[in-house]
Amino acid sequence: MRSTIPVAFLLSSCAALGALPACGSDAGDDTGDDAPLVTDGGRFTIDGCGFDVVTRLGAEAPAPGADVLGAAPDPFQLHLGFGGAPATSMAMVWRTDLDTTATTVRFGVGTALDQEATGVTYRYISGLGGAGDTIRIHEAHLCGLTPDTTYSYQVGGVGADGTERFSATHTFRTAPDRVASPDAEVVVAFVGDSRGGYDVWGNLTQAIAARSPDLIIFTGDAVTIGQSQEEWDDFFTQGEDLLASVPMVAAHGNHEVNAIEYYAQLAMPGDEEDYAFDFGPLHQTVLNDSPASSGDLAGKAKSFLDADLAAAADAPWKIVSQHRSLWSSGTRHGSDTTLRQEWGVVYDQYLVDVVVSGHDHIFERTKPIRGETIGATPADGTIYVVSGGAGADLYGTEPQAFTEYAESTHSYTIMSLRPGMLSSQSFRDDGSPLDEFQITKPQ
Amino acid sequence: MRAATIGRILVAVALVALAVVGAAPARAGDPAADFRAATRLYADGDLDAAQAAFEAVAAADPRGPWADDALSEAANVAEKRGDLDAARRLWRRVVDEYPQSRQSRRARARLAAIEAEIGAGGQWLEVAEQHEAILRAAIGVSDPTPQARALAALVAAHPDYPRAPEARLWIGDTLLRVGEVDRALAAYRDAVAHAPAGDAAWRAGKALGDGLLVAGRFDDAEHVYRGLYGQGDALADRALDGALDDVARARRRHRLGLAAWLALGLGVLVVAGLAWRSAGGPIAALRGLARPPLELWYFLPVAVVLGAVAASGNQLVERAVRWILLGGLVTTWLCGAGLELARRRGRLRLPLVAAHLAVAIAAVASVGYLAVMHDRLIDMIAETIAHGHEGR
Repeated sequence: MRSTIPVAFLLSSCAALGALPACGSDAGDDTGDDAPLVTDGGRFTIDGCGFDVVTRLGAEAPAPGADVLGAAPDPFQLHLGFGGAPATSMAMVWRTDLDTTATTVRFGVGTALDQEATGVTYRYISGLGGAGDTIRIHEAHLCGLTPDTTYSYQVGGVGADGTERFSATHTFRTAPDRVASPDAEVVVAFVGDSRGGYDVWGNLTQAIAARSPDLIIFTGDAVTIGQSQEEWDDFFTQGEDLLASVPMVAAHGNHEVNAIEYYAQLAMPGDEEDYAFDFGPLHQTVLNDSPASSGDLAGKAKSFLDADLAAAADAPWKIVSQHRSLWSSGTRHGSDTTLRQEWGVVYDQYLVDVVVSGHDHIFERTKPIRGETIGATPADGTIYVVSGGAGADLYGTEPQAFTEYAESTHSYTIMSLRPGMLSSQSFRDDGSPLDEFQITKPQ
Repeated sequence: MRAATIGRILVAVALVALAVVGAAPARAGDPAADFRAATRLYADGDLDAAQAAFEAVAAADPRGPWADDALSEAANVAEKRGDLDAARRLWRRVVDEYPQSRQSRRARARLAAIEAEIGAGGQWLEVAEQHEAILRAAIGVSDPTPQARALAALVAAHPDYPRAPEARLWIGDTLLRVGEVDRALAAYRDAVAHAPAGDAAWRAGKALGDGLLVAGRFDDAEHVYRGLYGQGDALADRALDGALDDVARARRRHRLGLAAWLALGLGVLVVAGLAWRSAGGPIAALRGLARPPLELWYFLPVAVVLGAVAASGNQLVERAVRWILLGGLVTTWLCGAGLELARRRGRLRLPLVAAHLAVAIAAVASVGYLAVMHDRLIDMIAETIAHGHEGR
C-alpha cells in the first residue's frame, strides 16, 4: 500500500467578483509546461473560505489557475464536492489536457452567471508506482454562498488572447442552514461499490438523478484498483450528468488503497478520510476504515468519531457512512467484528440513527441494533444499511437474525430527512422498489 | 371525465375533510403542528390520511413556509400509494406555484419521471399504476413469483406500454432470483424480442446473456454477448469483453468441476476394486473398508480443531474447510482401510500403495477444488492474492 503523507486536500479559490471574499495564497509552484513535475504535494491557503487546499504525495502543489489554454481545453469529467460547509460552499473539479491551466468558474444565483472565481490546478502521475499518464486537475471552491439557494455555473477558462472555453451551464443547490430553516427537508442518495461495473453505475446515476437528491454519499470502492486512471475515467464519465449537479463525497474503500487518484479527484472536507458536516437536519460523518495505518481504526478515526458525535449531540439526525459493514449477512465479507468493537460502541453511545456502508455487494437493512442486542423499533438501536450494489459483481446473502431484509442486487438508497422523520427508500438498478422504512422522533 | 377520475376526486375531497376534522392537530391553525401531524400519519403507514393531511396544510396557508414542503410530501405519499395521477398533479403544483423553493428541482425531476411512465397524454396512467402496485407488492417478499406472473400478464396485455422493456427485465431478474431459470430465460427472450433498438435492446440482450451464463449455457451466452458488440458505446463493448471473460472462466471452471467429480468417482471405484482384490470378495472388502484405520484417529482431532477455527471466521472459508475436512476424512478412511486390508491379507505391494497414493492425491485435489469453487470462494482467494489481505 502506498504510504501517504497526511497533507490534506484542496484549495479554494474564492476570488469571486462581487460579494465573495478574495483569495490569497502563501504557496504554490508554477504549473506551466516548463516546470519540472514535483509531486511532493503542497498546500494553498485561501482567505475567506476558512480551510486550506492540500494535495498529497503523488501530486503537485496546487497553484492558482492562469491564462493558458492548451490544445484540448474543454472541461470534462466535471463533478461537484465541497471542502467547507455545504450550506455556504461548493467545489467544482474537472479535467482538461495537461497544458491548460486556466481555471475559472462563472456562477450566479438562479440562472445568472454574473460572478467569477478562480480555482487551483495541479497534476499527478497516475498508475502503479507512478507509471501511468500525467493527469491535469482543476479545482475551484466557491465560498460565502447563500444557503438553500440554486446557483448556475460554468467551468473552464480564458486564454491570454481572450479565448474562452467553458462547459455547458449546470446548476447546484446549497444545503439549507439548520438554524435559519430548521424544518427544511434534504434528500441524500447512498450508493457504493461500482468497481468493474461502470455500465450498471451509469444506469444507476440516471435513476438517482430522477430522484433529484441534494447530496450523494458514495460508500467506497468506486474502482477495483485505486491507481487505475482508466477505471476512474469510466466512473466519472458515466456519472457526469448527475455529478455535475449534485455534490458527492465518499468514504474511502479498501480498493481505493489510499491512492493519489482518489484524493486528487474528489473534493471533500477535512483530511478527506475522517470528516463530518451538517447538511440541513442531517449530521453526516464519514470514516475511512481502510487507513494506511490500521492503528488509526482504534486511534485517530475513533477519536475523531467520538469528538464529532459528542459535538453533534443535538443534530436531528446522525448518519455515519463507511465502507466496511459492522453488520452484514453477505457471504463474502460478512460482519466486521473489529469495527463493531471499536466503533459500534461509539455509535451506541451517541445514538447514531443509521450507518450506511458497502463492501459486500448486496443490499441489506438490519433490525435496530444496540450492542449485540437486536431490537424491534428504531428507538432500540442503530439501523445498519449495506448499500454495496453500484455495479460490482454481486455477492450472495444468507440472512441472519439481525437481518430485516437482504438481497443480492444492484441498488441505491434514497433517504429524505427532516426534523422528526427520516424516510428511506431503496431501489434496484431497474428502478423497482426494493425496501423502505421510516424513523420518527419527537421534536 | 372517467368514472375512476371522478371517484378519485370524491375520495380526495372526503380525505381532505377527514384530515381536517379527524386528524386535526392539537393546535388548530398551526401549520408546523399540522405538518408534523401529517408526518406521523405518514410514518404510521396511513398513507391516504397522510396525503390528505399534507394537502390540507398547503391549502390552509398556501403562501406560508410549509406549503411547498406539504405539497411535496403529499406528492411523495401519492407515489407511494401508487396514485400517479395525484402525484403528477401535486408535483406540477410545486413546479408552478413554488418555482423558487427547494422542492421545485425535485418536483421537476419527479414530474418528468412520472410523465415518462404514463405517456405525454397520460394514456398509460392506469397501466402504470397497476405496474407500480405490482412492484410495491413485491417489496420484502421472499417469493415474488405471483407478482412476476401478474406483471407478465399486464405486459402481455399492453405490449406497447413504454415501461414494458424494463418490466420484462424485472420479471426475468425476479424469476432468476427465485430459481425459476427456464422461465427467467423465457422472460429475457421476450424482452429481447420486444425491446426497441438502442440502449433498451442492449440491456435486454446483456440480461439474457447473463441469465444464460447463470444457467450454465455457456455457448448460448457467448453467442448472445458477441451479437451485442457495436450496439452500445465503448464502455458497453468493454462490459461485453468482461462478460466474455466471465464465460470463458465459467466454462473452464465447469470443466474442471466435472473432472473433479469424475476423479472422485473413479477414486471410489479404484479403492473398492483394490479392496475386493485384496479381500478376495465383495463382502470381505466391505467389512475391511468399514473398519476405521489408524490414520483416522490421528486425522480426526486435527479435523475437529481446524473446523472449529474455521467456524470463527469467514463463512465461505468455513464451508470450504468443512467440505475439505469431510473429503479428507473419507479419503483417509477408505485408503487407510484399503491398505490395512491388504496388509492383513499379506498383499501389500508397491503398485497397490502407489495406486492408493494416487487416489488420495486426486481425491484431495478434487475435493479442494470443488470446495473453493462453491459460492465462488475462489474469486475471494484470487482477489486476496491480487489486492492483499484486508487486515481485519
